[in-house]
Amino acid sequence: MSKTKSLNRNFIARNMGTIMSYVFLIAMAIVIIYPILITIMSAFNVSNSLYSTSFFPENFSWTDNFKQLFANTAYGSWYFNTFLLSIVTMILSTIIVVISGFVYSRYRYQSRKTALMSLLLIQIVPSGSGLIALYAMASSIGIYSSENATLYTYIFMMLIYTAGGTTMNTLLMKGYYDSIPRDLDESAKIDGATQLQIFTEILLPLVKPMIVVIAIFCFLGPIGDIIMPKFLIASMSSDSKTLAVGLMGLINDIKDSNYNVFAAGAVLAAIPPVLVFYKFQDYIVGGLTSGGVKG
Amino acid sequence: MIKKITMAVSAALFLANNAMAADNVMVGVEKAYVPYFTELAAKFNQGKDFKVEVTTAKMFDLLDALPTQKGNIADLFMVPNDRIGDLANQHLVDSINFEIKGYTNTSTKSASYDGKNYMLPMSTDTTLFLYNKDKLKTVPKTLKELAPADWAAKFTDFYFTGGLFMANQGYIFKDNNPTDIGLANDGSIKAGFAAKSLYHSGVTHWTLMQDDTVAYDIMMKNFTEGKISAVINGPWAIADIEKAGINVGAAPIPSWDGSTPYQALTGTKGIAINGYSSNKEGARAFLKFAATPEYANKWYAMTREISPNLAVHYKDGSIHKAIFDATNAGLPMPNIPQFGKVWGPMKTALAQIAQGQDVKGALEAAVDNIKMDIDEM
Amino acid sequence: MSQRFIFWLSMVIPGSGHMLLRRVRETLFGFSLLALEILVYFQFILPNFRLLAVEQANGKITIGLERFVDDSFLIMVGSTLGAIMLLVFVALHYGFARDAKDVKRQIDINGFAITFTEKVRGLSHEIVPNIITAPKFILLFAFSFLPAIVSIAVAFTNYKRPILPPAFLLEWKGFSNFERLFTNERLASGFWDTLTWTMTWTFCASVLTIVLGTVLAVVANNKNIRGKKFFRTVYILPWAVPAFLTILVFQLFFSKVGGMNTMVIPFFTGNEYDVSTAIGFFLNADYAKITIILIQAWLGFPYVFILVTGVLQTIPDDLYEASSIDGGNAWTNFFDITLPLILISVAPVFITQFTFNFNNVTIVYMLGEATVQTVGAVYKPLDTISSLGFRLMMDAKYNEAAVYTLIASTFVGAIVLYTWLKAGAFKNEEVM
Repeated sequence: MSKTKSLNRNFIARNMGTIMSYVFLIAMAIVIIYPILITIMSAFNVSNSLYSTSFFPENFSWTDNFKQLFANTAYGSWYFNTFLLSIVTMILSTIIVVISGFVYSRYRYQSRKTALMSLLLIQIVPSGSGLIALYAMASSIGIYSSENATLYTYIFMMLIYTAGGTTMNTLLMKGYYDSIPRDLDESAKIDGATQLQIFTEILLPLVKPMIVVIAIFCFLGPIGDIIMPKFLIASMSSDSKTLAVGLMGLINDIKDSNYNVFAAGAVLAAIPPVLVFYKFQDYIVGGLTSGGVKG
Repeated sequence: MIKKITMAVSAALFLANNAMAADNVMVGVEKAYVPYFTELAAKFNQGKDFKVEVTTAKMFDLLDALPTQKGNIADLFMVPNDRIGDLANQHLVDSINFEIKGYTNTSTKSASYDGKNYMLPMSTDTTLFLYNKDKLKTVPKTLKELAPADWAAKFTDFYFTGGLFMANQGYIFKDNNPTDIGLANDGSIKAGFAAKSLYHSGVTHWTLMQDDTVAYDIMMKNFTEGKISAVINGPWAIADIEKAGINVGAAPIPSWDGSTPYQALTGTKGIAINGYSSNKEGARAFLKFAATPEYANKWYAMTREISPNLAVHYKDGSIHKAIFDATNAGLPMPNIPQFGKVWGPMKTALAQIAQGQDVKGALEAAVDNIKMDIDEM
Repeated sequence: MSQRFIFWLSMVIPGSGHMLLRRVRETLFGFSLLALEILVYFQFILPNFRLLAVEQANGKITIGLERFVDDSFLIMVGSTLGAIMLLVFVALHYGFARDAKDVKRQIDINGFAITFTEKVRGLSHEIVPNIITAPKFILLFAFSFLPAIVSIAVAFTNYKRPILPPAFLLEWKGFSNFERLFTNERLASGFWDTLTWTMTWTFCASVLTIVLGTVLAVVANNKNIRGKKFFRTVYILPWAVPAFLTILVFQLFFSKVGGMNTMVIPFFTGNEYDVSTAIGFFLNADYAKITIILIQAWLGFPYVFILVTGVLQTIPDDLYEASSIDGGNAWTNFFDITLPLILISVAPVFITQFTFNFNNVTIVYMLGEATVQTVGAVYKPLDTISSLGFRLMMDAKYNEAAVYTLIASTFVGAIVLYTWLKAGAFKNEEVM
C-alpha cells in the first residue's frame, strides 16, 4: 500500500514538468475555445433574456436564429459579396505575387534592386492613410455615378486590397524561390527548357506550399477588413455591404439588435476561413518558416 | 478640363454611359419606408421622361457618408431636422423651393433654416411615457413618485435625457443663442443627480443600464417581459411591445417633480434634396407631388408613423393620438448647426454620470467641450 | 557636335539628338513622345497647376478659383499626378539623352552604331522583367503611393467640414494644423495622453503576443507532449476566425452581462452572478486598457506560435544528441540551442508586430465604441494616434486626420527604416 503511494509520488515528481506543461496547454486551449463555444451556443439559443448564466442554450433551436438572420437582414448578399471579393482578390494577388517573385528571384537586371527597395519602402505606408484620396479618385473616374456603382466599388476595393497584399507577400515569395537552388534551372536550361518551362514545370510545383500560404493571407485580408468598406460602401443599400460592415451594424443598431442572431451570423461567417486554416495548417507552418519572415 | 479628362478616363475604363443614369432621381430611405416610396414613385413616374427609384439605405450611415460621397448617394433622402442647418452650411442639402402648407407649426418651423425650406416633413418623433396598462392604471403625476424598480429609461442618451434636463430648468441654447448653454446650470446638475440616483438605486436593470451599449436591450426586455411597468421610449418601439403581448399605453412624459413640465426632445424627419443632385428639379417635382394630404394619410397608414400633416386624423384615445399630442408638447430640436455639437459631449457626460463619476465635473466638462467645438466650427 | 551637345539637346527635345545622327526610328519615338508631353502638359498638368494656388481678393491662398466650378480636392489630386508625370518626363528625356550620347560615342569610336533592332534585342533581358512586374507597380502607384502623397498635402489645408469642395474652395494653411496640435490647450493635452497610451499599447501588445506565442510553441513541441496536432489546431483558431468577429464577441463577453461576469468569474469565486458587483471591463478606462491588450494577445499569438513551431521542427535532433553527450541537460539544451535559434527567427517579428499594433485601427476603433471617457479626458481612453486619424476622417475632419496619419506614418517609417539600415537590408543580397 505504502509502496504504491511512494511510487505514485515518485511518478508525479519525475513528471512534474510534463504535468505542468499539460496544465498550461490545456488552460490556454480553454481560454481560446471558451469564447468561441459561447458564441456557437448563443447562435442556437432563442432565449429572450440578454444574459444567460448557463453555458448551454436554455431554449435550443437549430434553425431559429439563422432563419431570422436570412429573413430580416441581407445576410445572404453580405456573405456572397464578401467571399466573392476575397476570392477574386486572392486569385489576382496570388498570380501577381507568384510571377513577380519569380522575376525578382531568377532575373538579373538593372532596375531589380530599385524595384525591391521600393517594395520595401512602399509597405511602410499604412493602408488607410490615403482613404480620402482613394475616395476622390473613385468618384472622379465616375464609379459612384454609374449605374453599376456597387460592382465598380467592389472592383475598386479589390484593386486596393490587391495592391496592399502584394508588397510583403512578394518579398516572402521571392525568399522562397531563392531557397531553391539555381542549379536546377541551369541543368534544365542545358536540357533545352525555355524560361517559361522552367517556371511552370520545375519551379511552380516546388513553391506550391508558399503559394498556398500567400493565397490564404490574401484570402483573409478582405474578409477581416472593416475600414475600407466602412468608408467606401457603408452608405450603400443594405445588400451591397460586406459581412464586416453588416454584422457590425447588426450589433450596433438600436432597433433590431439581437445578440443571438448576430452570433448565428458570426458562426456562419467564420466557417470558411476556419476550414481553410484547418485544411492547410501544415502548409502554413512550413511556409512561414522556410519562406523566412523578414523585416 | 479636368472634367473632360476624367470623363475620357471613365469612358475608357468602364465603357459605360454614366450620363443616362444621372437623370433619374434616387430615393434612399430606411427599409421600413421603401414600400411607401415605391408606391409613390410608381404613380409619379407615369408619363415622366425620368424615373424616381427607391433604394434601401440606413439614414445615419448615409448622412455620415455624405461629406465624401456627396451627390453619389441618393438624390432624395431622409434627414432629422436637427441636422438641417449643418447640412445646409456644407451645401449637402438644397432648398426644396416651395412653401410647406397644411403641416403643424413645429414641423414647418423645423424644416426651415436661414429663411429657406430644406425638407418635406414626413414623420415626427418624440419620446413618450410607454406604460403597461395591466400594471399601471393611471399615468403618474411625476416621475419621482414611481419606484426606480418600476420603470426604466436610457438616460445615457441625450435624446432621451434632454427632457429631464428641461424638467429641472436646464436648457440647451437660450433662445437658440449658441453662446448661452444651460447644460451645466443648477437645474441641469439637479437633473444629473436625478439620473445618477436612478443608476445607483441598486435596482438590477438600472445597474446594468450603466453600460450604454446594452442599455436599450435591457430596458426593452424588462418591459416586454412585464418586469417593469413603464419605460421612456420612442413610438417606434410600440409595434414590438404589442407583438410581445403587452397592453401598452402611451402618454406625454410626466414632470420630474411637478414643478416644470417634462419637455421631451421632438424631432421631425423629412425628405431633403441632395445638394449635389444632378436632377434637383425632378427631385423637387417629386416632393411637391408627395406633399398632399392624401399621401400624408397614406404615410400614416403604411408606416404607422405620425405625420405632421394636419389632414391626418388620429382616433381619439388611440395610441397615435397620444403620440401626436406629445409631439406638440415637446421641445423641437433646434435646427442650428451648433446643436450638432451637443450630442457627443453630452453622451460622454451622461455615460460618466451613469458610471457614478462626478456629476458637476462631467457636465461642466461637457459644456466646455461643446463651446470649444462650436468655436472650432 | 560634341557628345555633350547631343546629350543636352536630347534632354530638352527628345529625339533631336538622334535626328542629327540620322536615326529615324528613335527620332520618331522622341518626337511623338514630345508631342504627347506637350499635349498632356497643356491639357492636364498646366490647368491643374494654375489652379493649385490662387490668391483671392481677400488675400487667402485657395486651391481653385471659383466655388462650384473648381473642385479643390480634384485639383490637388490632379496636381500631384501632374508633378509625378513631370518627373517621369524628365526620366524619359534622360533616357533619350543617354542613348543619343551613347550612339554618338559609338559613331565617334567605330564610325557606326548598332541598329535600333539590335539594340532592342540586346535590351530585351532588361525590358522583359520590367514589363512583367509593371502591373504590380501600377497598382501600387495608384492605390498606395498617390493617395499617400495626396493625404500629406491635405494636412496643410483647411479641408474639414463644413469646407467641402466643390461647394467651397480649400485654402492652404501652411503648418498651422501642426501648430494647433501643440498650442491649442485641449488638443495638446489630448495629443500627449494619446501618444503615451499609443506607445504603451504598442509595446505591451507586441511583447505579450510574442512571449505568449513563443512559450506556447516551446511547451507544446516538447517531445513528451502528446496531442501536438490537437493543440496546434486549437491555437490556430484565433487567427482563422476573422478578427472583427472575435472583437465584437469579446465586446459583449467583457460587458456586465457577458460571459466573463456571468460564468467565468462566478466559476472561480464561487459567488453567484450578481449584477451589482459585475465588472464592466470597458466602462473603466484602466480595465479597458488591460482588456484590449489581452484581447490583442489572444488574437495575435497564433502567428508567432506557428512561426516558432516551424523553427523548432527544423532544429535537427543531432544537435541535442551532441549536446547531451557533452553533458547537457534539458535546461542547457533549451538555453544554448533552442532559445538562440528561436530568437533569430522571432527578432524580425518584433518589428512587424510593432508596426502592426501601432497601425492597428480595427480593434481600437471597434472596442472604443464601448468605452467611457473619464471626466476631463479629451479622447476616448483606447484611442491611439492611428485610430484617431481614422475617427477624425469618419467625422469629415480630413486635415486633422491627415496630420495624425502623417505623424503615425513618419514614426513607423523612421523606426522601420532604422532597423533595416541597421540590419543592412539594403546592402545584403540575401535579404534583397
